[in-house]
Amino acid sequence: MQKISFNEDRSAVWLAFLFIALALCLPLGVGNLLGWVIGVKVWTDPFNALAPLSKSFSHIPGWVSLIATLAFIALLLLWERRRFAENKKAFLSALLIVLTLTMIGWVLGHAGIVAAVPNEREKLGLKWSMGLTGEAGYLAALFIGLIIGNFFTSFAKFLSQAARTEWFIKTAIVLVGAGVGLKGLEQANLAGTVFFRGLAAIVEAYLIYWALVYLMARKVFGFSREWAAPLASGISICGVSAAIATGAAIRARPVVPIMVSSLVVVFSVVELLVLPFLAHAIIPEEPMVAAAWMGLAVKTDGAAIASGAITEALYMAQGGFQKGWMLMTTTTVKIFIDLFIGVWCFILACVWVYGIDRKPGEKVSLREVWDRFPKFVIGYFIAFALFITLGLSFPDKIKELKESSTNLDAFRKFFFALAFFSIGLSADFKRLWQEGLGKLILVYVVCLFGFVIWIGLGISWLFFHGIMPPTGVTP
Amino acid sequence: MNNPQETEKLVDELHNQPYEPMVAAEIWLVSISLFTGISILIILAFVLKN
Repeated sequence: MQKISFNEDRSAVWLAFLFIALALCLPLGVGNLLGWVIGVKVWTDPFNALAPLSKSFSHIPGWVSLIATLAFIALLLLWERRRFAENKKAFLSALLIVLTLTMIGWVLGHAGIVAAVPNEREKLGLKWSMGLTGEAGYLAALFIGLIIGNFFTSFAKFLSQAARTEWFIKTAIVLVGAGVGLKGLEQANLAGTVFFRGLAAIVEAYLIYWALVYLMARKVFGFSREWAAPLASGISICGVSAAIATGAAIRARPVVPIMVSSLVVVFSVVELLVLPFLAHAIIPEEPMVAAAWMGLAVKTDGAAIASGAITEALYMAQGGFQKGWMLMTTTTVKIFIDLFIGVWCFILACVWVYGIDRKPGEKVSLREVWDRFPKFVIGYFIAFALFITLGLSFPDKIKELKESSTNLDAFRKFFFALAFFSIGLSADFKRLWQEGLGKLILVYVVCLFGFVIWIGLGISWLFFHGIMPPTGVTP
Repeated sequence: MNNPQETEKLVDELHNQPYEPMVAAEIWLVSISLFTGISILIILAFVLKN
């Protein structure tokens, strides 16, 4: 009898849809079945870092919510792998340790001194912070995995049965679809000018940025396709999600997009600290161009929105503009970028299945195309379409849908963090960073500072110059 | 678990990426992407100017 192997692709889609089904119980009136899930905030006092996501569960202590979340995820993952784990008790023990260590990394990454961006410092009572945003949690999870993988090898071997990088990545990407679907719908209600110009700017960014960075990585730096595609997505599009989704769509080894992503998180700090001030210095009369530029040039969501807020503060000080317009422009541009990740992954998956992975002269049947096609990309689209359709059909339920999306986002981030931990466990990242990162950094610096940010400025100028935010007191 | 052979392979790859010529599908993807992007840019620049 043929042994059935565990299909991470299919399992990830089912797992993500189970989360989505539970989250949708809220707008359907059944109740907020995921509101008790743990939310991690940027903190200066660790006792204030954890709280349930929904205010309706605020009576539950953070540590109870934390334990319940870890137990819930562990049981779901165990249930998914029940037929494939040789020793279920050992698998469950390893899984619980992996989940706990990843959560520790995720919480540590939210420490104010590490994560707070400049506009949050005052609120948190900090004079200085690294400004890495909450996405530093990915690096902290990676770092913990790395320590175990390098110094506690027999323990790492035990944990490796539960550290399934691709499973975690693909589950998270389907959940990304649900989040961006709803965000896209919210943006559609914005002022027409910002909407149209933001959309046009993004189409341009994808078509020009990605192709140029890919070409540079392949022709100038001699990278293979497996490295060049995630690198192009990470540098040109939207950092972590784009690099990981692209890597999975072209079936790259998980370590490749994770290395690119860790670079993206570090570099986004440089962009966050430099670009708002550079924009204010070189285009002092064009606040909307500056805001759109932040959305196009700063790579992680958190850093881009923080850059938009800093840019707004800089221009508000000079102009008496209404608050919120510049930040809205940055956010719109950034969210449109996120929306198109799925489309781009779909295109890349098709090109790879049809044009690159196919051997010369080989005819690929539709059945084979389906078999080779990464199912999580389809899962992403279904999740995306589901949230958009629900939002359009039931506009009175937008608030509940938004809360559902927030609940799913917590799982999405945690599954990405699990992927970073698993990679730290499985690869000698220290050696890779020491010996291999130089070339990646070189491509990153040359592309980002050589043309990506300047093309971004040009595109922002073309679509937004001359448009001013309304003046006067914010209504 | 840390796999030294895999790490060695990755480090070697990063130093000496295996030569992988661009195939037709890649060239098409990059060319169509750039052509479409630049065309839309010119059209939109013209439309927005008028």
